[in-house]
Amino acid sequence: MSSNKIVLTSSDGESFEVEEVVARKLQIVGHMLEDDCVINEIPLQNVTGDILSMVIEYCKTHVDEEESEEAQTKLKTWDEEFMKKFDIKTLLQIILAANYLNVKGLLDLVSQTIADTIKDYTPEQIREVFGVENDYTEEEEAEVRKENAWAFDEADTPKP
Amino acid sequence: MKRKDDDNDRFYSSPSKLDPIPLDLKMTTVPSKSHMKKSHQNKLEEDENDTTNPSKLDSLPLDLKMAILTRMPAKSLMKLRCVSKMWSSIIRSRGFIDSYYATSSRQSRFIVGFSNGVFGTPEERLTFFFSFSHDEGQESSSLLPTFEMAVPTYSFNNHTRFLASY
Repeated sequence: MSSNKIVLTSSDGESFEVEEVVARKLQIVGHMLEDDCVINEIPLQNVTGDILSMVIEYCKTHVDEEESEEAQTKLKTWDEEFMKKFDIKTLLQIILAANYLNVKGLLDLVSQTIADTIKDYTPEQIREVFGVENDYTEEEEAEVRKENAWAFDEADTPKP
Repeated sequence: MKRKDDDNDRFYSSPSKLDPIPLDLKMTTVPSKSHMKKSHQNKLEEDENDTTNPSKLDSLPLDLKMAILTRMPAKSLMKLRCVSKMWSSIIRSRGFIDSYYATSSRQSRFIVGFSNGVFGTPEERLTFFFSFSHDEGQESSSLLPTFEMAVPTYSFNNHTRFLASY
């Protein structure tokens, strides 16, 4: 396997020198390399340095995915610990980056982590964190809440 | 035309109405600053809405929204229908429901509901839902039941549409 180094540059000008095998984990880079093999510096416009460094950390860890059960379990534990570091806002930036850079494994992992994080949020918290505009009228919202009252935990369901 | 003038009047006069006169007299620089700040803030807020939108779920590409929502428990999805009409329509769409079951292999393909029957008042009746998943570890195919939730039977009519679309 070639140990060519590739420089990835973030939107805010931070540069990361990584092995080609690691860079290829970003499919966007993989495609670029296939199109023209002489590139050794790749600008990535849609991702900032701090997010890119986390994506690279993931790719370095996952660079040689072994089939053995032991290795898989170890990776899974690493994934869980890795995701624990981030708050919901950072997770949202990582999911965008994973989508843009096309890192399938990370995209799955972050999607699941976000889902697990927000599953117990109240609708109000969801709106706040995700910047969702509440387009229900008061009456409509009351109606939808009533229909789905059983889905709310007892604590946040107003007693009829 | 007249109406437009009125609007303009209201627009221009509102800042001075908001600021009490005594304050103007005492600290002449502060109110003007606060005016500046106010208009700046409005602009900033607008800018912020523009620039921070990419990090917000509502402007996430639809496929990412789906990727997250398809990994959530059904019960949470029902709750999230209250977030906005947009979210509700995504959750209820045929495309979403299809990918909800296609996404995760651990999601069961069918759900069975049992009611605790004719005893008790309608309000006391519950329907218990179990989902079944394949146990792939064994040679013979077997189904493992998982208790999902208990739903009051009387509220059930409202959900017929949703459940039927499964």
